[in-house]
Amino acid sequence: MQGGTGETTLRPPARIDIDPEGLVGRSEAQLELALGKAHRREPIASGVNWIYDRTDCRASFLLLPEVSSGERRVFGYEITSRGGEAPSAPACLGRIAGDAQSRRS
Amino acid sequence: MPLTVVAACLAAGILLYDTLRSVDEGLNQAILDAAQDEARLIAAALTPMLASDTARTIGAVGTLDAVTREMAGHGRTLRVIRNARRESGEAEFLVAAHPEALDGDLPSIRAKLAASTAAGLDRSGCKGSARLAERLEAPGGTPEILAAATVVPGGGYCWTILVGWTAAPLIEGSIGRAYWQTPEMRRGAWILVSLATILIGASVWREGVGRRTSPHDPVRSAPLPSIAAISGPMAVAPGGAASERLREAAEASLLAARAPLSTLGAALEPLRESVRANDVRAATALDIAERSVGRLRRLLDSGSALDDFSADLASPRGDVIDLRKRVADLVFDYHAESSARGLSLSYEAIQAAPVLGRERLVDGVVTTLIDDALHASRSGDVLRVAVRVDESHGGASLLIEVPDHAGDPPDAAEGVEQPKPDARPPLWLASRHLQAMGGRLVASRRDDGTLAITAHWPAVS
Repeated sequence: MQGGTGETTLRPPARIDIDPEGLVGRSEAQLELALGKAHRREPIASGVNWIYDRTDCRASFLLLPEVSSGERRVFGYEITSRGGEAPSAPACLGRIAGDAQSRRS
Repeated sequence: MPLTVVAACLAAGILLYDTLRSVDEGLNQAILDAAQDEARLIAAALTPMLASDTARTIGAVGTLDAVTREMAGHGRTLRVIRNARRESGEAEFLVAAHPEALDGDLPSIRAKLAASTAAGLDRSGCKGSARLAERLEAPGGTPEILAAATVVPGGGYCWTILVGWTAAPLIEGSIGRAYWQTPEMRRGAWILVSLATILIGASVWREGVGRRTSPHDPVRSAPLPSIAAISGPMAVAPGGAASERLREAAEASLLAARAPLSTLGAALEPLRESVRANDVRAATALDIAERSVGRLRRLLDSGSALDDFSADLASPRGDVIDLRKRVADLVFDYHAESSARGLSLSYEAIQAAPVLGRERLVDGVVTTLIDDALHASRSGDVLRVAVRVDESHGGASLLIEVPDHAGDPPDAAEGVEQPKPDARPPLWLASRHLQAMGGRLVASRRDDGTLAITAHWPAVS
């Protein structure tokens, strides 16, 4: 599989870190485009909580209605690590996005 | 006369409106003051949570939601909105809402924010409080009164807290709408219109009867013209059929007014039970409504009495009355009172003498005469009441003798046969009623000073 055999090596897709602050204020469609479909959606306050679960981290995004348009947008987030080699928040989001991309392709 | 009545009704209505409005506006101001204080208090309670940077975290929003849920309820609504920062172009979020906001409620919330801004609330300045009285209709939801709005800073943002009410007594009240649209005023207008209708009807009837009376009829210059116009025999006899029709119309009006009045009275009962003791505004409104219903009932009772009275006078000789028996019964009723006054009341029926009349009119004449005699007597006196055949004119006579007293005015017997302004109304009225039955009243002073009052009824022909 390596060296001069001429065979190509299969590598996992390149992952880019995603800054969670950049997602604040995004609409449901934009969040889904960035991170894929949420694994779970739970109602909270006047909005809904989108939850993405991985074995090494978990990301939650709270979407609340915007007064002027009525559209739900990201109000805040929480990212928690799991296990010993827990990724940073941007890395966690990058991995979630990578997972979504893999599912799509 | 109808114009006078209409003017009087309008004046009474305007006075009533003005009084109720001033009372109601005072209550509304007190309620809105309390709402503003309440909004400030809620804002102060929420400020520590909003001031924390964790307000943006999911857990903090959940806590904020739980706290506002506790503060809302019992007809109170709460909305917590995080304002957009002026320079950032961020979104403005509805963070917590109780009752829960549906997507369709957002236009209502936008209307509330617009009303707050219009009321002078500086939302971007992050401080201040406004007292509002805006009525808002949530689509598919209950109507709501937006009562107060407050802005507080927290976590680098400004937060707007809107306090409103969906409580039924407040929704039905006059906060935030023209006063004439309130249920109390509509009820008041209904009562006023009913009163005006009855009064105008009565006035028209009386005018119709009055026009049939000769302008030279002494009835027109009697000291109590309004009663004389009804009770004078000349006034009643020529227009009997027409006056009977008018009387029937008045009777129908009275009956028609009783049904909605009973409904109104019955409708107030469950309201009284449901109004809480501390709900001052609703309790006051109920008191006013109940007092109005009570007054209207008394007015209808008076109208019924007047109706019976006019029915008797429309046909004052309609029944054959056993005068001896009627007087005996009435004298019996007076025994207790005469004993209490230390008087002796004697009754003598020399011969049974049926007369033509109406029982209520005959009773009125007899009781008026006995009443008057009792009041003119002193302890130890003997009052003689007798019914006998009227030998000089035929028919029957009722004789009442009152002993002489030095204190009696010398012309006490005057004014009985010839009404004059200072005549005693009871005797004068008895005289008029007797005239309506074709009889007459005579008073004379005997040599020993005894005052003898004789009521003559003509014979049954």
